[in-house]
Order: sequence, then C-alpha cells, then structure tokens
Amino acid sequence: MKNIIEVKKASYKYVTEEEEFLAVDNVEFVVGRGEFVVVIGHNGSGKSTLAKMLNAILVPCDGQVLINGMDTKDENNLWEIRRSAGMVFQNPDNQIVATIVEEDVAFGPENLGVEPEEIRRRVDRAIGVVGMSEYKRKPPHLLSGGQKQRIAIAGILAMKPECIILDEPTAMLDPSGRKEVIETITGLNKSEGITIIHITHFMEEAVHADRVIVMDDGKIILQGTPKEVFSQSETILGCGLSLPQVTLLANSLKKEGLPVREGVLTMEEMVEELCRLL
Amino acid sequence: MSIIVKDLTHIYNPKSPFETIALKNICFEIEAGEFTGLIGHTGSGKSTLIQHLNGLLKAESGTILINGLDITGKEVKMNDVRKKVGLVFQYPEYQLFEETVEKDVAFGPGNLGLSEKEIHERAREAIETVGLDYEEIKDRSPFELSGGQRRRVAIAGIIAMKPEVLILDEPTAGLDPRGRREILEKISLLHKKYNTTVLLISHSMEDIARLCGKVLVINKGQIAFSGTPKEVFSQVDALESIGLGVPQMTALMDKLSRHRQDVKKGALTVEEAKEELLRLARGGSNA
Repeated sequence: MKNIIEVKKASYKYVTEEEEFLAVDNVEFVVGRGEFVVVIGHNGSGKSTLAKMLNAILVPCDGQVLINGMDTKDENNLWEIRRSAGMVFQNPDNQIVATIVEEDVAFGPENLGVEPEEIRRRVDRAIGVVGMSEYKRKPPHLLSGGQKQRIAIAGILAMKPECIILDEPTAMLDPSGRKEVIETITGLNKSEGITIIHITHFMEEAVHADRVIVMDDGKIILQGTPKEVFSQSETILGCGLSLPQVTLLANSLKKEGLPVREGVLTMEEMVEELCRLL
Repeated sequence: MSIIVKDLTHIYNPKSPFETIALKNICFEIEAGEFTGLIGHTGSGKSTLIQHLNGLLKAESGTILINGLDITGKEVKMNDVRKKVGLVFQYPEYQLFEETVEKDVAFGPGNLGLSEKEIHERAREAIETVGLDYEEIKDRSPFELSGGQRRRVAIAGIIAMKPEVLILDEPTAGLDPRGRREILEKISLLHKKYNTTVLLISHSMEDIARLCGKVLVINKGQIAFSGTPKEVFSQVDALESIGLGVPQMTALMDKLSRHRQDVKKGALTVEEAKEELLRLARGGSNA
C-alpha cells in the first residue's frame, strides 16, 4: 500500500447548543509513505481539527479518513491507528503523564505491551534523539516548556510510529530548540522513512517540505511544492499568512529592478543568487 | 517606571536533591518608557526572572528596585507592586474564566476599588486597545473565541489594570503570522501612547530586532550581554553558542559577506537588507 493517509471528502462539525461550526469542510488529500508534508493556515482555519482526524481523536461527520487503509470510524482500529500515526500536540503540559522523564517516554510502549528490555532500548534511544539524555531521571515539571516538548516527541518515537503528526511543535521553542526539533523530524523522515505531517505558523519551516498544504476556512485552498505555494504571494498574504523573509527580500529587490530569479526560498539560495547578481 | 535589578539570585528547591540555581547575580537596569527585549534559550531563566519583577517569587538574595522602591523588602505590599507591574504569562488565554469577555477583562480593575463606571470604561478601552470590536465581543463567552482572540482578551485583562510596566512572556507563541503582527503592533502602540515600560520575551529574533531599543541576553541564569539590537545581533557566534540566533536578514548578510568583502553587515530587517543590497547593486559606493 502506497498511501499511509487517505482523506476522502472529509468534514468535521463542532456542535454546541447554540450553533454548529464546520471546522473541516469537504477536504480531500492523500499522503504517500515517507512524505514530508507541512500544513499552514491561520488560527481557526481547521488545521488542528484536521490533525486530530488523522489519528481518530475526531472522526469525520461526512466522508472518510483512512490510515494505513484502516477507517478511523471503526473503533476496532483505534489502537493500531494511534500506534501507526503518533501525535505531538502544541502544548507539552497536556501530554506529560509521569513523574520522571524516562517513565513518561516509556508510557506509550508499556501500553502497547512491549517487552521490558525493548522498552529500555527504545526509551534510551528516543531520549537521545531529542537530546535530553542528561535529564532522563528528572521530574518533567522542573523542565522548561521547550524541554517538555522534546520529551513529548520522544514519547511518540518510543512507539515506533510510521507517521508522526506534529501540531505546532515548535511554537514555544527557542531558535536552537526549534532547529533541533526540525532537524530531529527531518532526520526521522530521511533516515527512517517516517512520514511527517507538520503543522506550523513558521513559514521558514515549510520551505524544505516535499509538499505544503494551505488551509483557510476549513478547506484546502492551495497545495504544492514550497516553490509553487510561496509563489502565490497574494493568496498566502490574503489568508493571514506570510512569506519566508528571504522570499520577501527577493520580491522587494525584484520590485526595485534587480533581476532576482523566481522561487527563492532559502538563505542558501538567496546567497547564491546574490553572488550571481552583484 | 524604571526597573533596577542588583545581584538577584534565585534557587529552586534549596537544600534538597533537586536544588537548581535558576538565577545567579543578575544585574540590569531598564529606564522608564524603554522597550526592552529579553532573549535566552528555553530554561535559561527568563520566566523565573520576570516572576521576580512583580513579586511572584521571592529572591534568595539581591534587590529589585521598581521606581526606586525595593520590592524585596519585607514591608512592601505586593498588591501595590502588582497594580503597577502587569505580567502577561505564556499562553495567558488559559487563565480566562469569566462568562463574558467584558467580565473577564473587568476582573482586574474590579479589584482595584474603582467605581463601576471607571471599571466599565477601562474594560472597554482595553478591549479596543488590543484591536477587538468592543460592542461585537463584550457579551460573548471567551471560550467560543479563536485562539488569537482569546490571547488578546487575556492581554486586555492586564492592560485594563493600566500598569506602568508591562511584561509579556512570549505573547505571540502559537499565533499565525497575522495574529503575531497585530498583537505586536498593539503593544507597540500602547508603549508609544502611554509611555509604558515594556519588557518583551520572545524567541523571534526578527520581532526583537524590529521592536526593541535594548536587548538583554540571558544564559544559564546570568546576563550574558546586553545592548542595542545592532550591538547584540552583531555577535552571531556568541548567540549561536548559547542556543540563540540572529534575525534571518542578519544571518543572510553575514553569509553573503563571506563571498563579498564589501558587504556591510548588521542589517536586522528586510528593509535594511534591501537598502544595503541595492547600494551594492548600484555600484557599491558608500554614499
């Protein structure tokens, strides 16, 4: 099976006593095994709702979501779906359960019935990957927000998922923490083939993705390679997002008559382009 | 209001196996009306430091002078300090609790012994200051608002106290680019309008460079260095070695300077980088 995620005309509606709110509206896309997909969209555009539909925390009111071919509506699939598609949330405080870091990371595999020796190996490796080895015996409440987030990612890693969905995992991190998390998830994608769905508000984090999905009002309004997506500057700015700073600079230099080529997204590309031009 | 911190030390869980020195001999000064940025990697002590500035934590040693008054003194009424020094925590929207937006924003001023009319007036003004439509939003439940709106309501609740010092701990974390821009614009406006002293914690070096007149860099519980954004962000290697970075444009110009010796480094914003690149493109004179 090629696609790990298949979303077929899926919708999700929040229903309260007074009103109904269609947060995800007839969304359709597939994610191939090993793909690195970034989802961007303003607050309230439906990104987080969509993310929760990908590991059966929410089930569509219309349409279908298939993970590894398993329908999220079928309760018998729940455990297997959540093992294969692990989720890292925005706020690490909501996902830490144990009183010691390594116990927290062990929580997932313990619940999957993994052998103790294998748990030990997985926990050590996962904590190492996120660079928290020296803190493994510390109580999580003494860690800073960023450190807790790395523990949350380790907790997912220890379950050996095929796909990790990250809902703004870097929102609270400092520049090096952000870089570390991005490098960690990029590494997991490249060297272990783990499929990544990364939701973010940092446009710079989208430039290295295989594909960028832009959401607005519960719908996918744009998708493609980072180059394709960020060339639609009017659509991007119009829905409350922004362009990477490098692209902003390239665009404003172009306005001043400097023949900067289209689709400059990263700092390396910009330096190269400037060396050519100047 | 000025802030002078001298030799401030804070230890978590003193005399226990978990003893951690969070702040060590911190010294700095912020003048009245200054817009100061505080940067440091996660766990460097930023949040601990700001909790001292309105007396939420007690220092192990050292003094904190707010407008000349030492708030570490025993006789100081913390209520008076907290009326003047407003602290907006990380993710402040989790502290919303009232039935309506107006009631939530009015909670702070309601505890200041003001008249009903004044409380109401302040709530309205604060809600408008953060860029929300008062009439449209005042009777709604804060819990049915979007994340960005909730964040603004929470900040309005602090602004309604009319603090002379406003401290914000990552006020834009988790917001989309437009929400980020709008909140920072409002804070900047507030700073200009009321001459409020602002201390902003952020992980966005771009925002710090754009908004602040002064930057304090904290590392391992100590002030590593401080200065204007230009001075601070010229230390690319030093910042990277302590888990921080420089604004993207500064990094870009730094990289470019390795290929072109005549590039003037130090651009902080897209605008500044553009100016310098155009200068080079048009013949590279130093005019």
